Amino acid sequence: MGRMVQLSHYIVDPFFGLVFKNTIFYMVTVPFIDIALAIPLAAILKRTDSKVLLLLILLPAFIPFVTAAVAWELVLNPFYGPVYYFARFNWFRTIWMIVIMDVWESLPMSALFLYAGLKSIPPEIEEAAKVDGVRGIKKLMQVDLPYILPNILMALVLALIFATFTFDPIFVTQGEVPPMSNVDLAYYSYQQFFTGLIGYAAVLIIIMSAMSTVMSYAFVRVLRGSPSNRPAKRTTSRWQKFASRFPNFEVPRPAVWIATIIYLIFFLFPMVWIFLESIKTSAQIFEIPPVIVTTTPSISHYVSAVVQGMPFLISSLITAVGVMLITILIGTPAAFAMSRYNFGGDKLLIYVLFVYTLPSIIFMLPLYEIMNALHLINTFWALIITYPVFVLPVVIWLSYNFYKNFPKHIDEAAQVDGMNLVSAFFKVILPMSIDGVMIAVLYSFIISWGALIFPLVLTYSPFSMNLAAPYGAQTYSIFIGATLGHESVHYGSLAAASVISLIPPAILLYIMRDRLERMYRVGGTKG
Amino acid sequence: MTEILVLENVVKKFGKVIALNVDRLGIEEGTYNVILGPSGAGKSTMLRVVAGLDYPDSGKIILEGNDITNKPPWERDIGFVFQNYALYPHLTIYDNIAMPLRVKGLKEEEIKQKVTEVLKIMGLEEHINKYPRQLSGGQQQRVALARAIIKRPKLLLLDEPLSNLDAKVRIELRSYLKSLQRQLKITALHVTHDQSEAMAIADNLIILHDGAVEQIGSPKDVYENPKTMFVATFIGMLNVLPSSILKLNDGFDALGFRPENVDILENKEEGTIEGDVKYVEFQGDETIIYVDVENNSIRIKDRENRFFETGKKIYLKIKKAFAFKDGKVLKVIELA
Repeated sequence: MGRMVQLSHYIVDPFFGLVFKNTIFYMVTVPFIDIALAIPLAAILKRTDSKVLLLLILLPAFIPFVTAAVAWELVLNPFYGPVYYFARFNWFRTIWMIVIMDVWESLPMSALFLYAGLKSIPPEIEEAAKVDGVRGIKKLMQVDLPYILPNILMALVLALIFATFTFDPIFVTQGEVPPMSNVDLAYYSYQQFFTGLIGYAAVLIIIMSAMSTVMSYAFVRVLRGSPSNRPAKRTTSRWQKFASRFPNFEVPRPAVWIATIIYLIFFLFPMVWIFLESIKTSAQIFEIPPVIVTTTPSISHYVSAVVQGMPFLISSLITAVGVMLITILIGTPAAFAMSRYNFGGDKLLIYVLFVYTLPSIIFMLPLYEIMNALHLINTFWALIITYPVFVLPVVIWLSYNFYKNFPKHIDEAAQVDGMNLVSAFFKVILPMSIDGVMIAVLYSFIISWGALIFPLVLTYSPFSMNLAAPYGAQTYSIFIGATLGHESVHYGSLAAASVISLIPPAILLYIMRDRLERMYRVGGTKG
Repeated sequence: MTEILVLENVVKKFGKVIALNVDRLGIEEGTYNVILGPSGAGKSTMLRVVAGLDYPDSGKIILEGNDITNKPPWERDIGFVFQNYALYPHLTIYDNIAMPLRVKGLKEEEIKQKVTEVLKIMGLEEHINKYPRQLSGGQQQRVALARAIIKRPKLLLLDEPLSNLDAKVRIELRSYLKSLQRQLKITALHVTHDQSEAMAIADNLIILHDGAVEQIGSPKDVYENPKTMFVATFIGMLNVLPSSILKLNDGFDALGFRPENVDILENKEEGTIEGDVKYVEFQGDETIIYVDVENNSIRIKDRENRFFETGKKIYLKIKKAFAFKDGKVLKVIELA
């Protein structure tokens, strides 16, 4: 009987159609807008070859998605946001708002993938194109894009996974938008879980698992597939005939500059706005028309964002550091064993990639049950133990690629010198892997710092501020997304907290600026 | 014969290093020219400057009377063959070869006809719809060659085109290159560091040393009449003895002679040099005898395949030698 009830939920649920439609909408729009915008952006990055530009453009991918959603929410507010002046439109009534947030967050990584692809085109191919006389737009269409097709597919699949399981912006905008208007499967399953309909949430999660497995399969195929050995079906590809119609000239410099400026405005505007918002006085925040730059800057919002937010900040830092240590201690040796001794074979590697692409919402239910059984709910441990589920695959994959290019004779020399495998790894290999470890450290920190779903599910109160009897572990992303976002209209504190949340990622991004090229094979576009 | 390509006072620097410094170089139409030199001599730089892949810091490059010094590669009427083929990996053989024609905006039928024709010449018809990775190295290089000649360029430039191939294919392809050049009556400029390759195919050898042209001539001429000690030692084997050993006081620093230009005598004669046999290397068609002459190591080729015990005293009669002074060849001495 109980089973029948749940089945009937599934069938008669009046919202299911809308939720499914929204999911498909994100799935179709975001990845294609993403790639369409990423191609010119990657071409600009290659043409300008500016590290500063690269850093500025990558920033959105590294700041917490919650922060991004909050920033856009403040920007798109038709009364108090800057859109009042140039796009006064009720953005909160359209689900394109979510599409904008998704694209903003995932576009940098897609562009980085494509940019890395463009940079990997061998110089002699570039020269052959020069001698053949193909250049500019025509070269992009006839030579570059077909060459980086695997990169394009990979970016497309990652953006697809990212968009299909959009969670953070929907979470942040609840209460501001018409009820259910932008909800997708991921958020809906969380809602069901939260209202106690755990069985129905499980059904939704199974549907999502099936969807994401198909996408993961596509991802692994693109990443690990070897090129076919069969000749082409036709002697000449239709694409070549089509692409050869494009004009054979370089885009003039001024046009490149204009495009660069448009991209930069798109990427930096929300961040600039939350900063401007955060230093306004409380009264100015609700002025219509909105104040752009305040003449009476105030730090009062920062004070409250730090004072009120302190327990959350502590939770986030403890969790991020704990996760970092666990993932490095487990992840790097695993990656080393996998790359050097083929540990686990292709199966383990493919499994890691599979988990890597799964959206974290899928793990929500089982991990909740496990943590509940262990009586760890609402503790730091719940977060530190569970985060590695989605952090470890990233760290292993990054380190795996790092160790593939690591000189082989070093650990062999250590072994000949009488160390066993374990001591050789920790005494010789690890200290020599600073580059690879650094990237893993920074990545795991950034992912942990921005995590939202797991802390929402596994914690329910802020840290008690008592280290002797610690209790409560809500993170700073919850502080921003829920405490300030949903339950009040403290836009000033919200903006200030958002600015604070993007400081650590910005610092880390700056530190790893020279290592960015090496991580191109792995996307960070996972919420 | 008319000069199709002229380089005048061409200088190319990389930072402070002068990579290329050519006073004047003229290339005659329809000839096969091989640029030869040790690594770092400026061979590839010269080719790239002619191609427009690099631009000279000063000087002029003239193709058929037109100054092309500052023109981009696609305005130069050249074909270029790269060392590692540089085929577009994601395109079929057909599309690879069609690329230069598509840029020119030719009709698809015309492209098809031309590509098919060149594939026939190259013996690659059956591979028309394959991808480069599905072909062997030699086949890939022939595709690259097809792409380079399909526009019927004035000048065919080849940058170490054979050095990535294994020995057997290399020898096959090099004679093919030469016959193709004859057939198309095209002017070829071919860079290599492989001496035997250069000797085998060149109408003209251009010997580069430290960025400058050291000597130009037919392989036979360069081998028999080198102008400098560098050329004499770089092309073919050369033994060098200081003039003191030879008791010559004609103003030479040293005397150089080829291993085949020596007679070996068992008894001392007038005008011979005494030496001790160090060891003997049997090579089949000839034997190389290593001889110590007052602590100078000398190699001699013996067609008669004689065998000498280590330590045996022999007497060398030099038949032809180059007399060097300050690195230049002062004169060629014929003694036989």
